[in-house]
Amino acid sequence: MSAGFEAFLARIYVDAEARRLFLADPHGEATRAGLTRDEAEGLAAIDRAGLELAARSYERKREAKAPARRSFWRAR
Amino acid sequence: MSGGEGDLIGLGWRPELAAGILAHLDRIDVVEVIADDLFDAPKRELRALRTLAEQVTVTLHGVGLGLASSAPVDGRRLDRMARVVDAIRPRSWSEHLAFVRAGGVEIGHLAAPPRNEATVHGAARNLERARTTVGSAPLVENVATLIDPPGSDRDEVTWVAEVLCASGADLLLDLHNLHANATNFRFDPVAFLERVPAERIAALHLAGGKWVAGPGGERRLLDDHLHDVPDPVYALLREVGRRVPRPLTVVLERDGAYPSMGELLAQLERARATLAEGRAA
Repeated sequence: MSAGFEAFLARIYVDAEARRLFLADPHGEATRAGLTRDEAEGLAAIDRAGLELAARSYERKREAKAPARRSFWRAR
Repeated sequence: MSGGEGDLIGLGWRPELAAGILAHLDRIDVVEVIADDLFDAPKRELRALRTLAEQVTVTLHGVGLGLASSAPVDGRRLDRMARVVDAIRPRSWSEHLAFVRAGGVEIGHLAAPPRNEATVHGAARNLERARTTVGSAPLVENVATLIDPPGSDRDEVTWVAEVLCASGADLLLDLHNLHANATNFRFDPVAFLERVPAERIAALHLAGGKWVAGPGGERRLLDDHLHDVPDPVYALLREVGRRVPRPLTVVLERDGAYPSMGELLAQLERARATLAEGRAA
């Protein structure tokens, strides 16, 4: 597995536009990102429902994170 | 009722639960504290937590190291973990078998890594670095996932067992994560328990979740820590009690939609009784 594979996953998990482009042409987007042929073929068979659900879940987690440090003793 | 000789049953520390936890330390054996919440803590706060650790067993739980990656773990984050562990001196510390960032992108949560040889070896390297920096190895926790991780060439239990073997780390088995993954990806969670080395299970997490629907209407079970522990998770707890001989630390995780402290204590008592049933079976 190339070093860029996890970076590619992180990008499609987080970036809605990158995810849209990927889902429109999985093999092409993976190849253009420099992934190997095996990696691109693996991504072409991605769990699409899971990708959308996971991306939505990660987005909610990011939104829920407060910028200020969480007090150990007191709720905000 | 005792879960078993040496078993500890407790609760994840959350500021919203602090008063209730402190008022019921006679019924709570262990408190698990999120380590990342303490990375920027002033010394007085760490001293206060150290004082708490003299009254009740404290464990630390990391959420942001991203150890299960083919990329090296961030050394600065490990240094901060080492500072907190040194200040608190917990019974143990733990971190997830997840990746949380790559290529400069922060995912913001615990993503299941591709389950392949590269991440087995990457996780083992990162765990060795964690052990060296912090002074002890973390327990490693299986994560829940809504997506079947792309780039995988082996199933979850095979991958977890290989990481345990390659790293020497012990397992914090999250039973709701196991239940959710088994439900979403249609495998038998008891078969998972049969294949993971029982002697390496040191701690357990209990939690709840809810169903979510994808764009095509397909439903999956989300581990959200906002709901009560469901019956199938108690059934897995009983099964673990039957299989695992060593004392276990069992922590109930709740991150919001908090019920009364009485209800949380009742869930701890149910967990204690269920583990005892498994021990006796």
